[in-house]
Amino acid sequence: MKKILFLLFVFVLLTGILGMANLFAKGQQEEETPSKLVYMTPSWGAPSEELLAKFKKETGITVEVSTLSASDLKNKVMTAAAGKVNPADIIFVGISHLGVFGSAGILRPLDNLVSDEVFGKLYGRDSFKIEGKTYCVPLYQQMVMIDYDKKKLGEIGLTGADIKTWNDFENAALKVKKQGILEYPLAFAVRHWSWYLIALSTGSNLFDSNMNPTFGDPNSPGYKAYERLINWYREGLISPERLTSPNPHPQFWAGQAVFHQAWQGSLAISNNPKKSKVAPNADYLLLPEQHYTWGLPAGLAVSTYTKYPKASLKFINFMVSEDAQNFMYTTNGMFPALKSLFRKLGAEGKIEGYKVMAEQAKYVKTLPYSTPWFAEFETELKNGLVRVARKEQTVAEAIKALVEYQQKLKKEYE
Amino acid sequence: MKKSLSSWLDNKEHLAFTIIIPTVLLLIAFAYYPAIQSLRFSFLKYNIKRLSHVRFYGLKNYLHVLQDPVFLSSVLRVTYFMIVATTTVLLIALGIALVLNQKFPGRSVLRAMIIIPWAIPPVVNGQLWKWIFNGDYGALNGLLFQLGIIHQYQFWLKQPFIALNFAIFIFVWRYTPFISILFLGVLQSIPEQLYEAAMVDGAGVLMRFYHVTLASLRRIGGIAVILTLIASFSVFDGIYALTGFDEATKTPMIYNYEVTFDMGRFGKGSAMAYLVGIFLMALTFVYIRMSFRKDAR
Amino acid sequence: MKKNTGFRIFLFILVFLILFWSIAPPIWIVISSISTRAELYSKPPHWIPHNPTLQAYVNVLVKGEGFRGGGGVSAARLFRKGILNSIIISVTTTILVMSFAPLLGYAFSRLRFKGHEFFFYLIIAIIALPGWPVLIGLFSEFSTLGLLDTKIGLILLSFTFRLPFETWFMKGYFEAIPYEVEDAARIDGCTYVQALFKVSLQMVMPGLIAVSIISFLSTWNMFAAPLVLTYTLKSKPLTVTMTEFIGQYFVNWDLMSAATVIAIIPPVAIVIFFQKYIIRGLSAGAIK
Repeated sequence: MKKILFLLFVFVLLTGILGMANLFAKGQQEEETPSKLVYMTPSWGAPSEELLAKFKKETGITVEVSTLSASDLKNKVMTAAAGKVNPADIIFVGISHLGVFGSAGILRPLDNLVSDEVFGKLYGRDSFKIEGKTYCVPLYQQMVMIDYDKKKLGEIGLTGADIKTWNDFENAALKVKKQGILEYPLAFAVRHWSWYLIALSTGSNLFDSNMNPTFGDPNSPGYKAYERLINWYREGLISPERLTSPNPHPQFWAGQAVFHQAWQGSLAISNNPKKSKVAPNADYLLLPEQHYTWGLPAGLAVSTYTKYPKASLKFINFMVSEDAQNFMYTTNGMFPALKSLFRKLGAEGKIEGYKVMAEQAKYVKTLPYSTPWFAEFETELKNGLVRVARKEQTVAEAIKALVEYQQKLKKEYE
Repeated sequence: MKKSLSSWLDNKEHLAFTIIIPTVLLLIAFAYYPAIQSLRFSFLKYNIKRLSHVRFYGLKNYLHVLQDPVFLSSVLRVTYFMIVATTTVLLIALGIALVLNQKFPGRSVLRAMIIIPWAIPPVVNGQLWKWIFNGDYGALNGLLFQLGIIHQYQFWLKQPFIALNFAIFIFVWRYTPFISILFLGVLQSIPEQLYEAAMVDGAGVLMRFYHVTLASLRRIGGIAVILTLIASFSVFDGIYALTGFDEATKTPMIYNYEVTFDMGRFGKGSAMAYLVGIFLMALTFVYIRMSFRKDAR
Repeated sequence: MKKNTGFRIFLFILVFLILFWSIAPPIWIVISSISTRAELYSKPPHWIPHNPTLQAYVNVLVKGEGFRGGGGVSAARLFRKGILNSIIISVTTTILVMSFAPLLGYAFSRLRFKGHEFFFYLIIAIIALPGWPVLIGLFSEFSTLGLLDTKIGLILLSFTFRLPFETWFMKGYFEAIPYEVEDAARIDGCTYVQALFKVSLQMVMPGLIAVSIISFLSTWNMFAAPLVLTYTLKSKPLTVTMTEFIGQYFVNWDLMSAATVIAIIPPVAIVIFFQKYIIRGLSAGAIK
């Protein structure tokens, strides 16, 4: 009798192995139309339940949306790429992840899968090219911008038009702080993106055409921008909390800042009384001095390891349809990549701050997001800024280390 | 057939091997084999962003790790972590065990309560304390403010040294119950006669504490030290949840994850895992041997 | 020993301090989770909420929240699915451990055979294997076997790494019961197997329960391994979905608190309920 029990655990093991073999075999099977697709995205890339229901009605496919924070998403996709498994069928690709995802081979080139006609309807295809191949269908455009609280700035007797240089900007913030209107007037962070903003708008390109740093010289605008950002933190213009939890938006929406590092379309949130206490006093500010900014667009990509590339593309096409694009703009303030919708919204006067935005759009530079080394460069840049803010390093030491690190990385990936 | 199998099994060796062989196969498949696999990786130039460039790299990964300033400072950091954590855990655990060894009403309830911190998953523990330490609305700020100890809310985690000590604190908080239970088990097995005999010999309270209580805790104390050293060295979950990859609390475990899975450098990551692992292995062997010596008794 | 009033007061204070140390933090999380957001963000905090509400739990489990407050319905599903996965993984692992550990403990304590020592150390040495080297190698092995992002993979993994401890502990428990009991059963004509099931197993039952509970808890708490080995809802356990869930809810501490409470209820309940067994199980490794 009891020997059966003994045999049992041998069987348990065997079943385990068989199960494995089965799973493996399943991976090889032929596929037709799937009943379910997985879409991995940060929360601001997620469609509404109604849109998902509509897509299901049209195609019979249920899309499971898996929302993660941007950094969790990056790690999941990277480990999946290393293990050659499918993290999700459709992957949201923020431009800052393009280089690493692309070089890890997790994204399918789309040039032969998506027609030029579809790309033609959308802004920003070129941002998603690596060595001539397109890896994403653009989902939204996103210039980095500044918005500000007109009312609070008014309290110190200024308007947006008075802010022409970064010194004006800084003085205004200092005044707001000194008069006790706000404790931390700047919704910026001790992070790479606040540095890019100041550096680019003061005329730095960060890198020359050979991708060598131009910010190493203490007299260069990039170097000075770095010093300026650190000063803001030291003088208490930026909240110490922004050292460990950098997301600056809630602070501004809570009415706790006068200037806010925002994005093209952010007014749709900032001036929505349901979501922001600043409403209706927020407005865009054309970046001071030379006005230059850069873009943080995002696109949708098809995983290399998905079994359902065609169905995935159907979903991507759906996400750049007018309905979905309109939803992205109205709820999340994500600026449509769809040209026709952009024009329509503009014609209907539904784009707040259109004038400043159009002016800002004349000053856009690109950062080398498509290179495999840029993500690691950014990590070191971020760590360096935090070290300097904590007085563990001086600006000079941090920049020197950063330049050396970038040179080493670039050489490694050549 | 049934009968013969049954009698075939009724033999010490046959039975033992029927039990052991499948287990050993399982362990080889999911423990030994992967360990050897990553040892192989540690000699390769293996970056998941350049899968077409994987090649033999000799000992260079190990050299790179040993020359990496971030790694070296993480080792210093974890050394501090281990020393402070182990001392604090042992002292607090001893205190708790001594109190619980007294007779008072509600003792068994208290004994259940003190295990609660240990039951909380480490990663959840990190989240929990992150909220308490929060600079804007955290309970720690609220409490210290109401007690008049601070006059302004503090952003605790922005100061690297404080952040590190807070990371140690949350480890200590979660790990202490385990050690307390170990101590308590020994304390409760000390026969009352031992104390009485010491009293007859004219030993005072302190002498009795020293010669009877502490003496009987010596062996378990040694094991507790090793266990706490291992546990504090290997902390990952709590720090990951509390401060993420922040340099202030970057221990080798966190850095190892970052290098391997965030940067995608499998070769360097494996080399680091082995450098760190050798140290852990040595500690664990000491622990196993200490436990066995008592088994043999 | 005599105890005077001074000693009693001192003891009382110590007991109070220990109680505060152990349960004040989890209790604060429970309070936070039932506070309204306005009360939660007051300075200094409202230690006792004036208007307790379960809204945060509804948001975590059903509704989620919108945009930069977090990911909506899909985030709530992420969380629910995590609970389910954790239960499946932990229960299965525990059942496996319960069926294997006594057999192994029995084999190593009672049966003398060739290579006894060798096999025992081969199993025990796993305890000394550090985590990252195994995990990095396991990652690539799982990807070849198709075990990445599966619950089976996590179960096999956690089972493999619990087994050495449990074998070791069970061996100790078996050694603590006298041989004579089994010998008597042998004389009555039982085989080794029958003797094990009829006699010895009953006697080590308390130890087996302790070992199983510890296995359950440690599987429930697992984080680093699933963080690396899972990608989608079909296999992520609660510890992982929770950090991802919280990663999206940047500033909504009421939701974070509710999520935390849900994640600690099962292990804390088990600990309170099975207190005695756990104390026995914890001590097993170090003191016998």
